[in-house]
Amino acid sequence: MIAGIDLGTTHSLIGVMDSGFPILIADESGARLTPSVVHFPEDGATLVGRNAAALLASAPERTVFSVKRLMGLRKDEVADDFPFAIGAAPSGEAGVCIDDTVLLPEEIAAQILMKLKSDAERATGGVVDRAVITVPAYFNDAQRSATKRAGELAGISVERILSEPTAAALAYGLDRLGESSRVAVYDLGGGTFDISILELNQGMFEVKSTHGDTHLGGDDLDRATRDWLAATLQRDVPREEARACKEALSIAEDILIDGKMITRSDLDGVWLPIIERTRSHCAQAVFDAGIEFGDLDAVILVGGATRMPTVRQFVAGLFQREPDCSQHPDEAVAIGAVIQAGIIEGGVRDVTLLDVTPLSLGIETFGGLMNILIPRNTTIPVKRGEMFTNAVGNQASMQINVLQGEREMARDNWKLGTFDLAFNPAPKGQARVGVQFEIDANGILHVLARDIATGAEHVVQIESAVNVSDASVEQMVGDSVEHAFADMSERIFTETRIKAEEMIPAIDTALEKMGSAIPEAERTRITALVADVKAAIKNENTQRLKKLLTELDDATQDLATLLLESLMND
Amino acid sequence: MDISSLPEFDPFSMLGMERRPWLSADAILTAFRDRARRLHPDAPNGSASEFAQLTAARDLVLNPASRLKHLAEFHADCPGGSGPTTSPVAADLGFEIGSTVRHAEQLLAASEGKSGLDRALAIHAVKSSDLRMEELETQTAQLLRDLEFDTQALDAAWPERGTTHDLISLSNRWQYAQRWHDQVRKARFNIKSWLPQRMQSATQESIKR
Repeated sequence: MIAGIDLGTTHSLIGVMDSGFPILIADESGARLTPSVVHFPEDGATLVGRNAAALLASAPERTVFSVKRLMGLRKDEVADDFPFAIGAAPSGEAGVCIDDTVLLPEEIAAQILMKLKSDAERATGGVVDRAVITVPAYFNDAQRSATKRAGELAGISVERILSEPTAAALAYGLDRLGESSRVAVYDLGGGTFDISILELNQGMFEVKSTHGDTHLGGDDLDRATRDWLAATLQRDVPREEARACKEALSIAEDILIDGKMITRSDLDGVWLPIIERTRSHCAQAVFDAGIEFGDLDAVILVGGATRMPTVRQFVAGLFQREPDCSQHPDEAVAIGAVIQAGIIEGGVRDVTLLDVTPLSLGIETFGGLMNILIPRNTTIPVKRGEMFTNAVGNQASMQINVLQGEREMARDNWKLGTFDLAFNPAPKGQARVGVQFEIDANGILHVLARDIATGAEHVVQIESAVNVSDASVEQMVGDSVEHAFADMSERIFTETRIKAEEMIPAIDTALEKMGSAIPEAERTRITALVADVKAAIKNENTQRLKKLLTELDDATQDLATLLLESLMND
Repeated sequence: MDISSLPEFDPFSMLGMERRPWLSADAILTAFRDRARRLHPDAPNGSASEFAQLTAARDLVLNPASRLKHLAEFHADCPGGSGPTTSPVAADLGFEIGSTVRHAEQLLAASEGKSGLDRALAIHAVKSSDLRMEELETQTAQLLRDLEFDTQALDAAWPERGTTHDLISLSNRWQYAQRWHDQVRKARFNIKSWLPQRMQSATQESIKR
């Protein structure tokens, strides 16, 4: 039996298929939601869930919440302010300092998974050691791998890492299998925002595009509420009170606190700028899917924050339709995970899920450019091959930088890692190694290298240089829109410059060989143009450079003809 | 090393489709989905390798430029030379798109400029540039529709009266038209994403003064 697990920022859930229906499992107190909180007492057993959450206020340094925000990050990438101490593991990864140890996020998450596992085993009377675990859609390679490791540490074999909005779409579409429609899933959770566009076609769920923002969720709305309340009420406001106020204003238009009337529209002033941040991601996802907002049949809301009328109104305005609130905001993702578990087990037939990779994958090439091998929103699993050859004779190896991101220049993208490609000794251009980049159904990269001459294949270990952080992923996708223009001109200039730099020595050689055979006027013109080209490169003037290269082409026609003729006569 | 460059990769038969210049997108996608259900790694007899090949086949056959190029590579025919890659009218369109997009880039950057007048002028210019780009986008959309028509015409006479030259020429025309269409659409999207903010901050700046 494979379980489905939603390992959320704020809450976690576990479920299994029962007689063909996805069922969520309750803990000993009957609750299906387990707070994603872990308490490490000085003595005694670690506490997980409700019992741990009860100690958030009294033991903040030893009670860890929102550990999902730390998964796959290096210490220097952690942007949040936590009441518990953040430290670095020996390899640089972010972790939580408890006593003298730095606990990795996956170790802490494993505690949560172990509790879910034991709840499920108690409820089903069986062994639960295989599961599907969900992650935000744009979680990168490092974050997905960390989530997988958390499962393994908990004694669970992770059958699939599944994107949260995709899971929610599964829950939505399960009783609409005969239909064809195009939907958006707007998932605003405790810590993260995801938007995915999917096509549903007779049981086939195809993701067309996906975007997101890691540091955007209910937590941010809570913080803004807290700050506003503190200023208005002129006192300290605990996190829990701010959250309760936010939730109360989802049901009522106004409430009384300290004798003051606090209205929903008061707080809209601080909530709306935060919710506005989802707009550009939605626009980008719709554009990437090649559609307009009006082409969607439904926008499905998922995540606790979507209970807020302010959020619902925003979504209605952006998508020009009333959002679909048919899915349980806290449970839909877990239900979807259970359905995916059912698909893998074979119990759920007639449903196929085609997901995509959220970030472009590429390598650094000549000139510092990013060469995209697998564009974002490519259906996974996907394999792409590249052939590499030695640039100099007897070259022993070549370092390949693997990157994720949308920027034109390699240095502006995220270094997923590097690997060394070994060449057998051979003259320049004759050693050939094929490299296959595979992004599997979990969205995780595997690299395979094959020596063309011997046919020997081996799995390439990627040295992770810098882990891609949540904030950086979101920033990356946002940045790339902003920088699309700047990047493109830089790229065009670089490509033109490379072309020019290749032309110049060739012209020098040609002039040496055949210069005397052309009229002096032509020789002078060519030499002058070459000098102009060099100046244009120095001034980084793309337009001028392009124009000059065209003129140079023209000016060297005769030279070229003579050279060809001379070759034929040799 | 790449699946699609291996000689044994046959995207048409992988999808069960006829080898011809024009195929309906719906037919291709239906064929793809039928097979995807069976080949997806989650299916009982599925495998990641075969599924990856299937999506590569779908992408190749769906895109007219790559479909025609692939056909040309396998079409035994008298060599007809490469011929014109695009008509003079289309080439002019491409050139104008390139320079309009680049100009808009510069204007958008200038809309963040130091002087209020510079900013206002740049913003005005971006807006009229966008109007022009809207017209260009209509033209590229028409170009793509024309190409669809020409591809169907080639298909109607297929295979008796189709040459490698025709296939390659049409493939190149598709490639350029798609590129220009994407270029102008992307530029317009970027303007739509950034202009409102630039206008807002420019207005706020001038109010401050």
